[in-house]
Amino acid sequence: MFAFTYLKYQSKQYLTTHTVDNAHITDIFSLAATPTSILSASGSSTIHVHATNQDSFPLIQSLSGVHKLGCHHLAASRDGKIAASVGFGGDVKIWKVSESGSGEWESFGELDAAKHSEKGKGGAGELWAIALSEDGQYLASTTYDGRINVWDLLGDRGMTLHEYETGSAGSGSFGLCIDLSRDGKYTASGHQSGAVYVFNNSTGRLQYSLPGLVKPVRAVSFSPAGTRLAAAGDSGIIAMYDTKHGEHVGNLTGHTAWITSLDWNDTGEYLLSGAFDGKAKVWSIERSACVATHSETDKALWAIRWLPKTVRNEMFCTSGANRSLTFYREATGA
Amino acid sequence: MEDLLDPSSSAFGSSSPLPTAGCVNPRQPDVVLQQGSRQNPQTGVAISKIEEILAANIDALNEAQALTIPLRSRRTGKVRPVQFPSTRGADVKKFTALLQILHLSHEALVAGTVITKRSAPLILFPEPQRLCSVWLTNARHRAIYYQNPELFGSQQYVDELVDDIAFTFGLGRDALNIVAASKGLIAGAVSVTINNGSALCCNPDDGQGVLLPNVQAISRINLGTTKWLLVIEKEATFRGLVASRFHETSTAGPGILVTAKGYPDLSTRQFLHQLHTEFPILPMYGLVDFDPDGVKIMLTYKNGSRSLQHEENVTLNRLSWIGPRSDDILGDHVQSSPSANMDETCVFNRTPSDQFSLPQSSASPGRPGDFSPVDVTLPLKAADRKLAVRLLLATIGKDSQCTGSLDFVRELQVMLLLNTKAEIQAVDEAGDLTAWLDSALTKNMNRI
Repeated sequence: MFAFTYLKYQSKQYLTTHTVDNAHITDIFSLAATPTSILSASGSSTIHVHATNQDSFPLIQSLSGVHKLGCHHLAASRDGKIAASVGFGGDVKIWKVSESGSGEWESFGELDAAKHSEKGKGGAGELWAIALSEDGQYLASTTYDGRINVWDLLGDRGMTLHEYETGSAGSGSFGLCIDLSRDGKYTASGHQSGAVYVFNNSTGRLQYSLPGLVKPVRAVSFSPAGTRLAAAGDSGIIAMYDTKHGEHVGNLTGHTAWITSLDWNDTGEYLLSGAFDGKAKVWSIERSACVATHSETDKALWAIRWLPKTVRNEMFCTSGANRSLTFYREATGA
Repeated sequence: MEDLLDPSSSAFGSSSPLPTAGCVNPRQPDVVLQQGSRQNPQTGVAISKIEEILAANIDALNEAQALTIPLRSRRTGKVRPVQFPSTRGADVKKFTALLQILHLSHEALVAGTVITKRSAPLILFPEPQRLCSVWLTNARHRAIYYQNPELFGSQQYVDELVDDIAFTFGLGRDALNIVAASKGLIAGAVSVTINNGSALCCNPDDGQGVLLPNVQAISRINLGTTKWLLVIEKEATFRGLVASRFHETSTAGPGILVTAKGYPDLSTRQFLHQLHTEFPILPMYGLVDFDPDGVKIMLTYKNGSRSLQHEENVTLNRLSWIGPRSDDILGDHVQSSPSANMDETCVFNRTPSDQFSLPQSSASPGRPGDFSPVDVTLPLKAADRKLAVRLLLATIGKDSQCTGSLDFVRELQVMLLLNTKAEIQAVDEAGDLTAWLDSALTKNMNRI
């Protein structure tokens, strides 16, 4: 019977393919992957860009002094043309790939949410977590007091497209994380209270309030097709929801520490998770099982990301308190 | 005991202290006899007033009536009963808080043991009862708040209620064995010679610590064999460590314990600066809460305060932060049990590997998840976040390379990122901080 279960649940193999040691001088708090590079942000003021289409993962650009107090959230559009970053001082910067053809990132202005008070609603408040739509036109954000906003980066940045309240005005629970579905239809947010909300961006209304997690939710992520939402945090469980009916369809259990980061691979077959104890896990959605566990470090992982699939085997990157970028590649012939 | 001391703010929790009153009652005459004439004459009055209230509530429980604590307003002088259950949410909280304060006060008055947060009872002194009760009263005020910070919310809330109770009873606050504390205490095998030639021994046998002398009055300090100095944010923690004679028994060798009870006053900082200057090889460590205020207190000791920048000789360049930091608090205690919060029927994966890797560690014999960080951490409040950002700005602004303050910057950022804070007690073991502190001291001293 043991042999049977072993065969049934055989693991997937990922090998450390490269590590950029001390990529930053402090903790790396956030990662964003484009088709050819990975952006990393840390407690220092600099955002680094490493090429992921070259074997040595060279540093190809540094955006220096962009967030004086350090940067906690970073997002990039899937097409790799737009990025956004949020600093500990509440500063939000937007970036775009230069049209000159150099491939370098350049400033695309800011989003000064704290200043604007639109329509007597008291403004969007200081931004915390952010997510970008596939083409980078829309940015979704959370605030300390639980407000969720969607912005049109190509339109008037002084006002929000959608404004969702998750509690009575200004007293909602801290929005720790946010995601936009790839088709841009839904916004999902995870909160300190354990609440997970899904908003419908076409109707501008709350679609679902999802039950299940009692402790702070530190990561939410839509599957590529937008049919599933994964949410995880201090409970150590990854809760899986069906976005069509707003149902809790299952849990992935196995982490024994706070889960800090989640990401789906391109095909939606695998989910990657990172935790406070330095462990990264790959979960097979089909089998509802953990198929690989990696712990290069015992220090906290703050961010983990798949690299968009290219011709080579699928890869992912982990980073956190050890200040390094560690790249893993799927082993062939397993 | 732990349960009784830690009623939650829930409806069920709030009734738990009552049985204690019931079982303490019969023993009361013995205790009073034991303590004899040394007791404050008002003690008996306070005890009987508290028991009157508790007994009335037990009766009310039996008759399924609402529970009531009468409270006289200090402003109007009128009695307004605080009821439970109540339609007013504030009343429910107030009732729970009052009941806990009454319970703690009663316990202090009757038994003479001290409870610091989630803790083992501290030792009862063999010395005369009078000393004991002085010590008790000092520790008590802060300790009440730390019994249940989430319930009380602020030290101020406790202060208000304590004064309300004292006013209602028509007694002084001290009659409840509750008083506010004074500043600047030291304990350790140090002898300080005062100008007039008298020597101040900082290691009296009563285990209380002594008030720091004015720095101008000091002519000589003799450190003896002490190996380290620990500055402690909280008085309750200081008293707990002094009571367990940590300054003598630490595995890191004999040392000095100092507290200024929160934000340090000028004279404490001047005294420490003098030690710092005269004994450059004496390592100095700071033990503060893992919250923005803790970091600010560390920075105030280290760099001085902004409002007193004209003051000289108050900084401690070599002071290093012993913790607890995010890793101390979350690292060992993160044992969230996957089964704690989920609906079992929803579990669709039971992989062999993951079943094997379920936490064997669950340190607590009780229900799973007992030691998960949720029990020791609190979310940051808006004011905490503002202070953290201000401190980041001040620290980074001053020193763009952040040399020497990198760890402050890092921990502030992690606090903000996790939106989490914790008190020193988060790293203790059932109220005993000494094991953690021994290893932290040893680790830090070997590093130098």
